This record gives sequence, C-alpha cells and structure tokens, in this order.
Amino acid sequence: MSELDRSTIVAIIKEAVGASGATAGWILERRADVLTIVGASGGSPQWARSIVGRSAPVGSGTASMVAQSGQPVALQPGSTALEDEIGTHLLGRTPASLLCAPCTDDEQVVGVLQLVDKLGGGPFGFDDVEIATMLASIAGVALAQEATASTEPPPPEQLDRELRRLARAEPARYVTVARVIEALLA
Amino acid sequence: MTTPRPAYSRDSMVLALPAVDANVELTPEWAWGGATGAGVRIAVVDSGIDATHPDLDGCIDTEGGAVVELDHDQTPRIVPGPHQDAFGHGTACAGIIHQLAPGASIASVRVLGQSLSSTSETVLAGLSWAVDQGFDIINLSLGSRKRDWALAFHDICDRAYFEGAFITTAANNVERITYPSLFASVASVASNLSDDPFRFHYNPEPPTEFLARGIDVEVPWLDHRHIITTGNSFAAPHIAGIAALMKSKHAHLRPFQIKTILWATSANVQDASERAGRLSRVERPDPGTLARTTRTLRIADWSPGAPA
Repeated sequence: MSELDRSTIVAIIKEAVGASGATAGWILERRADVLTIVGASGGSPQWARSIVGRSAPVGSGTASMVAQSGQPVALQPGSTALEDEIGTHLLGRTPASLLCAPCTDDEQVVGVLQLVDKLGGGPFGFDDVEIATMLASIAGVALAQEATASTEPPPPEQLDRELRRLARAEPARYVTVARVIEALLA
Repeated sequence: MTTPRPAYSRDSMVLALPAVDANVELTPEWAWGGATGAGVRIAVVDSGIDATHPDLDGCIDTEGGAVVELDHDQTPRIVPGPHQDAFGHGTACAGIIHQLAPGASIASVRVLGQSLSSTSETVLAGLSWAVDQGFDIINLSLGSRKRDWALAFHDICDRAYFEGAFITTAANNVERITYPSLFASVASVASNLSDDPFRFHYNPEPPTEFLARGIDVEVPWLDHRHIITTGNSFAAPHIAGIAALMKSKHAHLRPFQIKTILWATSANVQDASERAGRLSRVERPDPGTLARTTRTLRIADWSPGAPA
C-alpha cells in the first residue's frame, strides 16, 4: 500500500474515532483468507504504526464475523467475550467496548473497521454504529481502489475458484469467458 | 370434451375453504397470546449455535441442523448434524428467538466461519437447504452485496415464500443494497429504540418493513458467556421469535398472512388514534355504495363489517 493510500485510510479511521467517541481504531484489510491491519489511529503514534501489518486469526472473533456477514456489531461494556478479541492483543488489555463495521466496495466486504473504548466508559450507540458503517464504506472504496491499482495479478487459485463459481452459477457467462481464454491461449 | 384451463382458473367450489377466521380483531393477544412457539421449527442460518449454552436450555435440535462446507474446488457441500458456533453470532440470534418463543425447536445451519471466501455461495446453499427441510421460520441475520447472486437469492426466497417458510433478514445499517433483504418475499428488519422485545414497528418506507429491538441487547455468546450488543442482526430474530409464536398458535398462516398480522400488531399501528387491523365478515355491499366508499376509503378506516 502506498503512503498516500495509507494516509487516506488513517484519516478515515481518525474521523471514525472522533465521530463515534472511541479512543482508538484500526482497519483490517481482507485479502483472500487473511485480515491484516493497514492503518490505525488513537493512542500514541508509535503504537499506531507498530500494529500495522499484524494479522487477525481468521475463523474467530468479531472482525472475521463482520467480514463474512457484512453486518456491523457493537459489543458493549460488560461483555466478557471482549477478552478474546484482537483488540485485547493489540492494546495489551481488554477493551471496555468494541464497534466493528464492514468496509465495503461496490459488491463485497474488503475490510473491517474496529473502534474500541467509547470515551466515558459508556456503550457505543446506534448513531455511532451508523456513522462508523458509513465511514467504513468510504474506507472500503479506498481499499478497493488500492487493490485494483495493484500490479499484482490475482493468484491462479483465485482465478480457478472464480471460474468454477461462474460455471456453477452462471453457465452462459462461463462459456463466454472460457471461449475468450481459449482464444487467448490459441 | 372440456377445454383445458390454466391452473389459476378454478371453480370456486374447488377453492372453497372449510373455515376462515372471521370477525377477528388482529391484536397481539389474538395473534400470539398464550403461545410458546411449541410445534414450530426454526432455522438460524448463521455462524452455528452453541447448543450447550445454558440460556438455550435444550431448545436446539442438534441433529436437525447442518454445516455448509466447501470442497477442495470450493463447491458447497451440506454436512448434516451437530457442530459448533464459530463466532457467537448464531448463538446470540438463537438466544433471542428462544427468549420470545421458548417452546420452538431451533436448528443451526452454519454458513459462516470456515473461510472468508465464497461466503455468498455458502449462505445460498445453507438457505436453500433450510427451505428444502421445511422449516417454518428461517432467520438470516446477514446478507450479500454481490449482484451476481441476487437472482439466485430471489429464486430461493420466492420458493420459501410459496412453500410457507417465513424468512426474516437483517436490513443493512446504511442505505446499501444487500440481498435478500431487498426482496418482498422476506421480512427485512432494522432496529428500533425500544428495550421491550415484543415492541416492534411497521416501517411505511420499504424495503425494510419492520423495526424491532436491536440496541443494547444482552445475548448469549461463545463459552457460555454473554455480551451486550447493538446491530440489526439482533433485531431480525425478534421478529422471527414473534412470528414463531404466531405460527404456533395459528399453524395455517402463510408468509403473507404473517406479514399482515405483524403489520396489524405492530406498536405504531396498534397505538394509532384510529385503529386498524380489524377483519370482519363482509356483507356484500350495494354496488353504488361500494363505488362511493372506495373513493373515500382510508386504511385506518378499513373495517368492512362496521356499521356505516
């Protein structure tokens, strides 16, 4: 990710932290089956920089759940399950509250915005969920643009998977794509 | 020799019903008063359900559920039987439904948790399986944004609608397209500000048709713990639970009837100064009277059997 893209992402996180009354926040980018932190805000600048590049274990935790379901969720103070969240590892303590919103581009979830510790110790309200979801969507567009601009071609497994999906879901379109590939290889 | 007729053209004698509810006032008491959800089968299409959570006290049909797994070539495959909850989200939804309809049987159809890829395809496979299994109510507190899958979701939801399965889905929290929450064949639910699990509202601006409790809801989670959470994901199971109570008390109800009764029993309709939702046996009116009436008819006045 370029410095310009990263500064855009950090600016969006900073806005989300301020608008929701959180103490800190970060965005995890979704690439295949991995969620990786691409930007953070709150706490000290050193801390925010130090967590970039760390990955969340996929298959458990609110970030994975939101990445799959596409639905934002807020975990309020008193929720003992917060102990298991990635935030606990990043902060070195259990956050008092957590708000998690999907970063979406046009059609898919490309990342997750996580905000922690509502100021004053209270819960994140529904307004906070809505503003975080809106800002996460803006971040999603930035993440998608960055991914599109990347010169790296998709890995063969991903292409293979997409072709198999097309073959099952939309045989007509699959036939067209298969013919194009055949013509290119001829 | 008789001329074949299309299936939709049938004698009224063939269509005659043995009995219908007439002179009924559509109130919460009529709709679900005294009901527990007994006899109703609900599928929670989600991250799995922790059947051992004390809050669920034995309501989970572990053998009746299934996991959607992906083969090595990413083809979805249904694996029936017991399984765990990956995130806690499904356990939370089941807990809300069980709180409202303690007598209902709940089964888990796990579509989240295995992998971040192919989510729409696994959700679709799980939803389709749930419809095939004949569940009465299907809760889907998630959605897909992929237009490629919209038609497939539409087909399955329509199939559920015609086969009598009532699907509740969570609406998006911002104005974004998600499937199947946009379809008329499902009940799309967002959050209201109430802390009463039975207080829900009708939204006159579809496609989100109902609003139910979804803010600061205490729900069961993984490892027999609880969380207090906020999101439309937790509003949809409130409507699923209330629909289960209705279905338990009035087993014949079809999805469109459940929706109508939800409308009539919603807080803003019940609290309206001019009450709606009364169905009375219709006396065949004089055509002239009918013509005059239809020009001035308002929904809140709709009570065909009431004195003129």
